[in-house]
Amino acid sequence: MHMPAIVIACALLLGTITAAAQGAAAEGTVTLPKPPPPAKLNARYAGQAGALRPPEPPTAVVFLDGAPLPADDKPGTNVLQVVQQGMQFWPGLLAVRKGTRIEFPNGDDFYHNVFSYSKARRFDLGRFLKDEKPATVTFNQPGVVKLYCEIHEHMRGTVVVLDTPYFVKTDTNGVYRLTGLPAGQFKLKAWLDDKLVHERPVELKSGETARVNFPAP
Amino acid sequence: MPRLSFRFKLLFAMMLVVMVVSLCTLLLTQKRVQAAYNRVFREKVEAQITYLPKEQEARLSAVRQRCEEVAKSVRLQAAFDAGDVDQLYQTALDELSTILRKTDTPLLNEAERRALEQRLTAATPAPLRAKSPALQKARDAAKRLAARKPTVADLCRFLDAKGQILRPSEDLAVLFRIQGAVRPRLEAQLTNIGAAVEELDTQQVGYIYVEMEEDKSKSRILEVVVTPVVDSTTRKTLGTLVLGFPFLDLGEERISEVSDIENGVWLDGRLYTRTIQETTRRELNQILVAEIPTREQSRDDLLLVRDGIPHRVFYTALNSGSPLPKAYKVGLYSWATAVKAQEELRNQILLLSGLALLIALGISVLLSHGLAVPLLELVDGTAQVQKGNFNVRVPVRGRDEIGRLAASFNEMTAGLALKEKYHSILHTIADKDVAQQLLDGKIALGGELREATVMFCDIRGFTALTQNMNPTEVIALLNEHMTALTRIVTEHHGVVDKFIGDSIMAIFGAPKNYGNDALNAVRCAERMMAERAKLNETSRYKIQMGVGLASGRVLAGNMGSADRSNYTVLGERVNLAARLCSVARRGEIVIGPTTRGELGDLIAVEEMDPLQLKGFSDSIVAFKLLEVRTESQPAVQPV
Repeated sequence: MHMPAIVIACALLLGTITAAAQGAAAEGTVTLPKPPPPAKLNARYAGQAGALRPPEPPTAVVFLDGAPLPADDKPGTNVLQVVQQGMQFWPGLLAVRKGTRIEFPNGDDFYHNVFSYSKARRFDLGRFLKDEKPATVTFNQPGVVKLYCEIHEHMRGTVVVLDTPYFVKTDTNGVYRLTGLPAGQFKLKAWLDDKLVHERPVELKSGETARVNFPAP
Repeated sequence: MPRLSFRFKLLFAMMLVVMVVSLCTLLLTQKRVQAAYNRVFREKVEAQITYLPKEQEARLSAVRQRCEEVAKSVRLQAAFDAGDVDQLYQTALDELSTILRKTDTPLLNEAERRALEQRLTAATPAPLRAKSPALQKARDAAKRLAARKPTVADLCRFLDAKGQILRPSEDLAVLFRIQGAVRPRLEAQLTNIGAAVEELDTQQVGYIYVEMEEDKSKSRILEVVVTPVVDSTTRKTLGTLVLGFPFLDLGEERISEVSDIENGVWLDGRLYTRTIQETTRRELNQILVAEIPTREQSRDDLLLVRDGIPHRVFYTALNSGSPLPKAYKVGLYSWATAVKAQEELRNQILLLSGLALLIALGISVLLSHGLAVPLLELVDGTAQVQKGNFNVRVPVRGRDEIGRLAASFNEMTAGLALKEKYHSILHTIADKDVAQQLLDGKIALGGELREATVMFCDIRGFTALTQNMNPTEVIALLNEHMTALTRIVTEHHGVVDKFIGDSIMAIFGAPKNYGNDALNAVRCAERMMAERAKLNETSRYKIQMGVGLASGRVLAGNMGSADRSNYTVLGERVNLAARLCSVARRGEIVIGPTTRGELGDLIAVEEMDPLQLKGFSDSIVAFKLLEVRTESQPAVQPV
């Protein structure tokens, strides 16, 4: 079940590197918040406690705001996956291009549900099992879409829908590197959560790598 | 006024006793009654104070539990997260359906209720659309509900993390609106609760007042369960769910059922009640406003006076320990029954006391009468005795102390009378002085030697004189003579020892010594002569006397048999006096040598020829008294 996600992630990464060869780059570190306290499983699901995994450690999404779209821009038509496994969303944070479709397969041996009341995308997939064909949701509106499972209240997932191809998710240490960026003066933003978005002006020059840490020192 | 005084004292004492006893009884019973009612009151209050939280627990436990569950609902959390107020309320409708419907049960018929529930449930999963037929129907149902029940509605509100009220859109709001309520005031109170919510991390119970615009009598206190909605992952407070239920009616009615306590709820400086009289509310509220801040938990020692009847006031916190505005259950317990009981008891005691007083008065009058009359009789009797009437007798009215006193008195007067009789007899048959000395017990029975002067006075020619007289005349003559002379003897402190035929024997200096007995004796003799001479002037019979006096040591004492004795003197001097008397011629006073020696020149005498007297071996030199020189001196006091 992991295979498709990993393949897609690798493909994305390759694409980014290829693009970076011709343009500017930015790299740095985002100071990440501490991981949330371990989830407490509702007593109703005590029988499934063994399956409970820790959530994905906090990460951030760094993206370039206000940059013109490349000439050969193609809206995101790819299909990504957010798997529910170990009573967590994997990945917990996912940044996608506007128009991306996401599949929500169930990796556990019990029912899961996915719904969101977010303004950017409101949906409710109902309850489904592992062997069912995963439902797909298309994210056409930029914004932050929070994912919940109505059964397991501790489960949280976030899809950041962006209207730009210049974005990257940091690793769990907060380290990021963006390549293939256009030259010019832009704003580089780091999204941590709804209430915490860092923003720093950045001047990008072709063939050079700008170093931007978040938050601003 | 001893009579009045005694009665008055007795009456006063009785009255005092009765009054003191009554007063003590009154005080004691009043205290007891008060204590008993106090106990009853405390028990009642205690019952209230323990009953209320239990009742609240029973009433709210299900609701509280449900609210806790709902607060954990991930949909609610998601809606808070997304800031989707309509979704919040929609979720509440779904999740709280059991609670909300239950409260509404009597207001919707079963079919309506089910229809509404089903449609709303069916509408939940799908995205909310304003024109959804399900929602439309639900809205219609809610409108009907609102139309049928304009005044009573539950309260269901969400507050955001800062305590601000989250208002659903008009479509949904109709389901949550309290018809007829004064909205600003309600919202102000909700905001008050919201202000406390920031420091809230557990579920709390609070109270708000829902004032009805059209009909104030339908205003209600709502008991609100305030449940914070906390994010399951981040543990951050997202907002608050406030769910309210009518409270006042329930509480008041139940309390009124189980006791006669007027009660209400004091909330945020205002008193909400229906059972407490309008006129009292303001005053009661003033008391509460002043007292509650000083002791926040509960109190039952406050007092309020209404129409002269004290009322006990108690209050107990309904939501103690909650950061929400405090509400108190307030009770007003009339002391009227206690006051009435006290009054009744007082009246009864006063009545009984009055009766007791009357009885006491009657008894004391009788007693004082029973005591005073015999006493007065005794007083009269005593007065009679004082006057010398020993024949007085008082009636003996009983065998009690008074009766015994009367009997004793009678015995005493009888004894006195007898004594007086003996006294008078003694005085007639014996010399007064001797009698007195005898009575006084001053004469020793054994006899004694005394210095005394003995006088004999004899009538000359008595036999010749009385020869032709009848006995009565003789006795009359003698009695006249003796009475006059005896008086003179007594005047001169002499004692008539005895009458021997026509002669008198008198003693001076025995049984009592006056110091100048010899002088008294000669004076007496002189006076006797003069008296007889005076008597001779008026008397039919002329009598001449001779007097003999002798002084010296004599033997004096009571002499005679054991049954009968008289006081007399014996000795040679007595003999001498008798002899001298016999030698004295008519009108002569002859004194012995000792007497002459004792008196010296106080008297003028003429010495007589020595006398040869019978019984005396030597011749005696006697003197004829001529004159007593000095004027009579005041009697000398006895030595």
